[in-house]
Amino acid sequence: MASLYCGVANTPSGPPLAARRPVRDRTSGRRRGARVLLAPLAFPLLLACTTEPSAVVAVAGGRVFLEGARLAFDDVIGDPELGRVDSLFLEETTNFSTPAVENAGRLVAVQGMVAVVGHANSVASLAAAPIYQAHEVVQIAPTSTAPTYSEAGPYSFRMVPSDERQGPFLVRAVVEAFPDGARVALVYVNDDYGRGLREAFLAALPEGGYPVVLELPFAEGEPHPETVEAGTAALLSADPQIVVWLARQGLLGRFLPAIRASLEDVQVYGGDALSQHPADLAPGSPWHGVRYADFFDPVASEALRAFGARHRAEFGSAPTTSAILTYDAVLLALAGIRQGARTGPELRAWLASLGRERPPWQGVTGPVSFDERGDLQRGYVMRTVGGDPPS
Amino acid sequence: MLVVGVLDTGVLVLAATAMAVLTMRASERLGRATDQISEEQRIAEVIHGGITRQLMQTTAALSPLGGDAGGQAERDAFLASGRTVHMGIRRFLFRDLSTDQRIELERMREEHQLFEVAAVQAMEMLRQGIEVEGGNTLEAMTLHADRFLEAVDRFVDMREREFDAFRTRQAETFRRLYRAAGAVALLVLLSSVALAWRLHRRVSRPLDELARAAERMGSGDLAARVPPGRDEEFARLSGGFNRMAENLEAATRSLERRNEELEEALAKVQTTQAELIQLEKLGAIGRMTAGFAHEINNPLTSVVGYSQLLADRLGSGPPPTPGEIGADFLEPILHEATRARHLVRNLLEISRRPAGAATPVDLGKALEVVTTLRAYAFQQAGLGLAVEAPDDLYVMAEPQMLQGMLLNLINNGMDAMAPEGGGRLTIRAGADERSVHVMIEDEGPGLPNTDRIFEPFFTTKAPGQGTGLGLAMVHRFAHAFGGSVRAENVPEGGARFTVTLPRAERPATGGERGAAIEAEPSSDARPATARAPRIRPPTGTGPGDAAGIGEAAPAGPNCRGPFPAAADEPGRAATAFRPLRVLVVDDEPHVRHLQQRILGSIAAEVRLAESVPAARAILEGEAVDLVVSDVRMPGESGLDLYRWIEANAAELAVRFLFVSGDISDPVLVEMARREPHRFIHKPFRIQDYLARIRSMADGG
Repeated sequence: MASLYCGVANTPSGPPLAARRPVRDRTSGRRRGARVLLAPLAFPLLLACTTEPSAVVAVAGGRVFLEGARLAFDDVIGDPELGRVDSLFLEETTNFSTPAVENAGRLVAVQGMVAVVGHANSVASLAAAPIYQAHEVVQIAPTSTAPTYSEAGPYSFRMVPSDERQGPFLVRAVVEAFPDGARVALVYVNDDYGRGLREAFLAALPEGGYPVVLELPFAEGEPHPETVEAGTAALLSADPQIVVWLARQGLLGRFLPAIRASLEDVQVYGGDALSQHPADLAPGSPWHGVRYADFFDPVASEALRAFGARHRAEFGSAPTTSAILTYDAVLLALAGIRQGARTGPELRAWLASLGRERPPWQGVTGPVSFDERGDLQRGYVMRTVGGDPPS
Repeated sequence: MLVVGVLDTGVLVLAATAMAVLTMRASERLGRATDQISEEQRIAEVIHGGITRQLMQTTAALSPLGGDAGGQAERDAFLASGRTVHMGIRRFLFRDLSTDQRIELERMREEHQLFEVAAVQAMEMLRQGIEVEGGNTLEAMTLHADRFLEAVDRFVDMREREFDAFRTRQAETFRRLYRAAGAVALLVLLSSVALAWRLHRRVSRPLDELARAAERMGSGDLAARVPPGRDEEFARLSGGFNRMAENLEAATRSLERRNEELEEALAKVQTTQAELIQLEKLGAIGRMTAGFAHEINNPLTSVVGYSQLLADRLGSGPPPTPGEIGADFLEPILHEATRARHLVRNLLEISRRPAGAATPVDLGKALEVVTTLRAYAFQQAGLGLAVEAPDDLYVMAEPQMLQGMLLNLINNGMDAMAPEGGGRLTIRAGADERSVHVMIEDEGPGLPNTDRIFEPFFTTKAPGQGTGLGLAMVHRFAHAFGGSVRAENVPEGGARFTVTLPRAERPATGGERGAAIEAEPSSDARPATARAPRIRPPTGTGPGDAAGIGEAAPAGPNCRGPFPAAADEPGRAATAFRPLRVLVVDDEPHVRHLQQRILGSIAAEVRLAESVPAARAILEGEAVDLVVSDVRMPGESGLDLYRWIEANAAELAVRFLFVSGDISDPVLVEMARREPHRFIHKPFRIQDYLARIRSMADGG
């Protein structure tokens, strides 16, 4: 009988990961401790779970990441073919890289660490990647799209394609919407994600007909009101037909009311970061009609719909793309371990063999295989907030 | 010991190797660190250049004096410079950094990005005519620029500290390596000295002791032993050596005992061999005895007969004149007596035990001794014997052994030719400067196996005919004299033995025993004894024999008168009307003539025949009353004649008297046992002879 054990530790100077208590017994079916895991934390919390530890799979990221990971580990409890696997959940509450670097340093120090699913975004994943490379621990980034991540090394994989694909994809969408040309305003977050996607977009943009009338960088985090005011003014002054938003959804939320008020006909296109847009929008929300590139349609398949239902039942909300990708990433790592890859190098080889020596692994998001740089071999889909308008 | 040495050496080699590896790794690390420092300097220069340009571009763009303040071109140039800075920072990302350095690097990147955002926003505000001086944006730009530079400084400081620490560690490592190298070198030196001393004490010394013991043992001191070694290897070696020495000593003692036994056995074998050789020689002589008895009985018969005739003559009738005594009686007696003495001396000479030492020997005399002994046998066997040897040919040999050799070779030739009943044995002698060669060549069937002919007990003769030691003795004697003997078959048929002996000078004095053999006067009946050169015709009918076929010998002074029916004594007058006709057959002239004289005393008419064919010729031409025949004669024997008479004139067979020196033929032996009156043995008394004659004349 396999049991799952978990423990909680404060970071960075909390007690070691030895205090564990069972949170779920396969026989009784009782689940304990899950709420603790999902409780909003004011400080970094280290939570460990294990089935008589030998191999360790960790998950580090935002709350939605851990939701997907929880469901994935629930799926494998009592799996007799899996063997003994410890799991380690590490919630990261910011998108900055410094916590990711610190957490990566802790994770690679855990004995038996095979894989880490994380981190929260491209910057964090990229900053932590060299640490995993140095310790031969597989890193599976659920949502990192920064092109630089492709250069991180052989132990770095990601569940999404690179922005080198997303940039041209967005350009095609823009050209499709404005085949005769349009003035383009480009707003981007000045980090590895925004910079990389900006470069990919500009490189794919046709030479004529689509002048970039404004390029406006923003920093990660909550902007100063003055900055928002100036930016809004600049945006209105540029009078674009299209605003391409290569920053995260929070910043767009600050700009959208002004954009909708002053630029009625302007269309907003965004990158995959907008997939985290607010749910349950009220009618007349400025978010309606915003189009963005996404990795998949969450309701495109029966499996995705079933997962969505399960997520809603478990957590009370529809799963985000990040949660679904984290779910697939955890199951992917466990599938490799189930097939005998119980060390970082073994799991790395197993992942690299997908789509080559062995067929792609079938996840809820679709078939998974990687190119030689560890990027998922899959395309993007265009989605619209509030639903696609009738064609 | 060797294991310890090897371990010592192995440890030293390992230590030296480890030193080399450590030094190499330290050098490699130092080299990599140097490369890293150089590369990071280049990266830092790129970052520094980029941020410097960005600051200058920001200053220019925000300056009231700027030409195109907030223009797109300035903004693009600013962002391009920022890209350079960003890529420089990212080049640090994949380097080997500590967590603190990595965090500082991320701060540096974030501050740069914030600086860029603030700068671009300031440019945009300026472009839109918004006052930036004293505003938050410009303040933020300045703040993040300062923080960025501070972060760069901190990062560079951290790297420099790390490189300084690394350099210090490397310097310390090299110092340790140098010290370790010195320690290893000292260790090597001490270990070498210790190893050399240990090798000397545990290897050289035991080996020296082992070598000395081996030398002592080699010089015959089998009691030499090695003290037990300290190390297991040398303990086993010394133990093995000592056991070997003990075994060798025991084996040597055993060998000495066996040697003594062998020497004793060899002495016995030599004695036995000498006895065998002597026995063989005596055996050869023994095989000659039958013929010799007959040969010596002939002269004895003459001596006895003529002496008795002389006595009778002196006792009855007119005394003979001294001339008659000398010519008719003493001369045959002396001749035959001398002949008998000669035979006996030769027999004694050859029968004598050898003296042992080799001396110059007259080969001619030796040949004469043996040929004289065998001449009669050859004659009796119908074989020829010829000697061709120059005078004054001396060889180094022992006389008796030399004669034994020659006798065996001559006997061997005679035995080979006798079954065929013909042939000649030729003895040739020649010499070169250093050797004398004697070739004895017969005309027999040849040798069946020339390779084995000299092996002891190898014989082709019938059982009882020889011991098989004769030719082996020849071989041994020849080699004992420093010579050799070779056997071969001649193409014309027959065998040839070549004896090669060292040539010797004629001795100054007659010290040679062989030279003491008295030279006998030559006999007309024994031409084989002729000397210088002794080219002898084949023996056969004696050239001096006056009796021919059908010879009617004169009866002599007492051979006339009537044949007495029974004469009691010689000279008694016969009463018969006609004289008794007697055929006397004998190859010996003196014996033939003696019988003629005896028969003459009874007025018998005597016919003389020197051989069986001559006798048959007489018998086929005229009638005789009595046949008196010798048994052994050259060619056909008396028994052959008797059988011829039995077949052709049976009535005469009852009056056939055998006169014989010896009887060896089994048929005659049996006949002599059944009819002893038919035989009279040489030498005989005249009265006995006449009594048998009379008895035969009366019909047995």
